[in-house]
Amino acid sequence: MLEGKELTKRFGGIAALSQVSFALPEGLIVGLIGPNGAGKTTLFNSIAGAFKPSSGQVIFKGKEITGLSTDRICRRGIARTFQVTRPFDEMTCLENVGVAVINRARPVSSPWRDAAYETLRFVGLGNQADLEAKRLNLIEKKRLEMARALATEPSLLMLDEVLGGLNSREIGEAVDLIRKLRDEWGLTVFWIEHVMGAIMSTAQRIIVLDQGKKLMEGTPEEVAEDRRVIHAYLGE
Amino acid sequence: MSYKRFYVILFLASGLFCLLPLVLDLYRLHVVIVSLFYVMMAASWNLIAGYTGQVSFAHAAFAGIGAYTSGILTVKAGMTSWLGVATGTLTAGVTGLGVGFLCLRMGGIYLSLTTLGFSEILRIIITNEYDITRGTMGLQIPPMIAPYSKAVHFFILLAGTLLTLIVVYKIIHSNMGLNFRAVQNDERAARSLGVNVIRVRVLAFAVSSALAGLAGAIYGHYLMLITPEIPSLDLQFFVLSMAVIGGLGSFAGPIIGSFALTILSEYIRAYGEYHVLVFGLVALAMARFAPQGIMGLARQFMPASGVRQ
Ligand SMILES: Nc1ncnc2c1ncn2[C@@H]1O[C@H](COP(=O)(O)OP(=O)(O)OP(=O)(O)O)[C@@H](O)[C@H]1O
Ligand SMILES: [Mg+2]
Repeated sequence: MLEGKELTKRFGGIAALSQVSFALPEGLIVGLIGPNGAGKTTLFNSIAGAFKPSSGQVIFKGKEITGLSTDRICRRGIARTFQVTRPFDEMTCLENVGVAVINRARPVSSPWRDAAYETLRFVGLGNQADLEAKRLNLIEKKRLEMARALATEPSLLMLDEVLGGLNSREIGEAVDLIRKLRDEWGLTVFWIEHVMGAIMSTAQRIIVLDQGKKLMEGTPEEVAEDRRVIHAYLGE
Repeated sequence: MSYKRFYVILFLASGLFCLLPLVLDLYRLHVVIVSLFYVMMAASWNLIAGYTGQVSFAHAAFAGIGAYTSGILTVKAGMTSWLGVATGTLTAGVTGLGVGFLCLRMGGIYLSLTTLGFSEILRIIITNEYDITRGTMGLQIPPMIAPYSKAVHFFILLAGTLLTLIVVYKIIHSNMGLNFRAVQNDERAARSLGVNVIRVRVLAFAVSSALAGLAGAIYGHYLMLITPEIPSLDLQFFVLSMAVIGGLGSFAGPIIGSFALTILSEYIRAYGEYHVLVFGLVALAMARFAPQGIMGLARQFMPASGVRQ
């Protein structure tokens, strides 16, 4: 469904991403892990068009999307959340999600408010619909971020550390939600996460990045046992 | 504010305004007409500056394009004023589309600088093309409806103001308005949700420019003399002050600001041409200490009274 071919991204002299290749099969949850600064968010940015990769290709549903603008990539069916949430502060939650609804590739026939409200309810923000986004707490902001991404009607959802700062009950809820997206909505999920327990038990495949390079890829079991991965996380 | 309430208030207010020619002397009527022109200007500038966060300094220039297009077509080509105004509006809109397309990719300070440059270039052309524009002497043009009557022109400007306010209201409450606010709040997040930011900005800029063109064209025919003072930076900063002092990004703000500053400037006119400077300073202070203008202050001190949009 999504394929990266030798993706490289340099900032000045430093290669935040070098020669990373991968392929995401449709309908799976694929985890992306790696130590801080490994290049995970940079990989998301390169896929989503936040910037153009220095070299390499991104192929989505058989078509090359490298270097397309973010909004066009979104309308092709890739949605992402931001590691540091970026709500539209001065707008209500309903309006936040409404922006995603009105810019869908397939325009809605029903009023956008209905569709936006449905999505808010799905992530558990039904009661906050008319609240300005800046009044939400961190957890609610993460949910709003998720609702907006979902409201674009993606076929691929990229989540950047949605569990950070959540307690164990909230983590459980969020993981259930993500499973539901795969099992009931048929989404493919590409998921960056530092909460190892959650991602190891949910994802079907894991890709590991370290210092901009792909260290390995495999099932959670394979990754957990790999000496290179343990080494990368524990350092020298 | 709901649609229904908006239209009720708008038509009640304009009903009251319709009585003004009966009670005001010609001088006071003139002041109201000038205020209406500024309402058109400030409300349409608010559409881009207040709702998409792009500070353009070319708004007066677009009014100038409207005024000179209509003026020249009526004088040199014998067009009727109505057709002239329509052509002027369109020309300003199309020029806005072009300028927008060229410089909105840059955004921020670059947009401000390019629009500043554009408006200076336009002023220089108008001043120097004496044969066509009569330079700083000004071009005499026919009124909207002859024989000239101030009351009739008052109604025409009132209609133009209503049209402008309705267009602005409809846009900010449409899907486009939602996109405007998203872009202003967080451009990157907006892009990631499928908003074509450049298109949103160019569209806003073009509509706003067309409305400025309409204002300038009608105003020109009211004055029956158009000079480079319409597309001047003086006028630009006057409009800016009105929108900022009234309240950027609120619907009523620019309306209040326009009336307040036009009437005020009549009173202090006696003290020389410094009033634009004074307003500029007040606007700066407001932008720093009360960025939501008079409307923001009203909201702060009368939270219960439902002063919102
Ligand atoms: N816009 C940028 N300009 C310059 N350097 C950048 C930029 N974005 C990322 N980097 C650098 O690229 C490297 C990878 O950063 P990235 O954010 O992709 O890491 P990450 O794996 O997401 O880390 P974390 O787990 O901390 O979120 C870092 O060294 C970072 O400093
Ligand atoms: Mg990151």
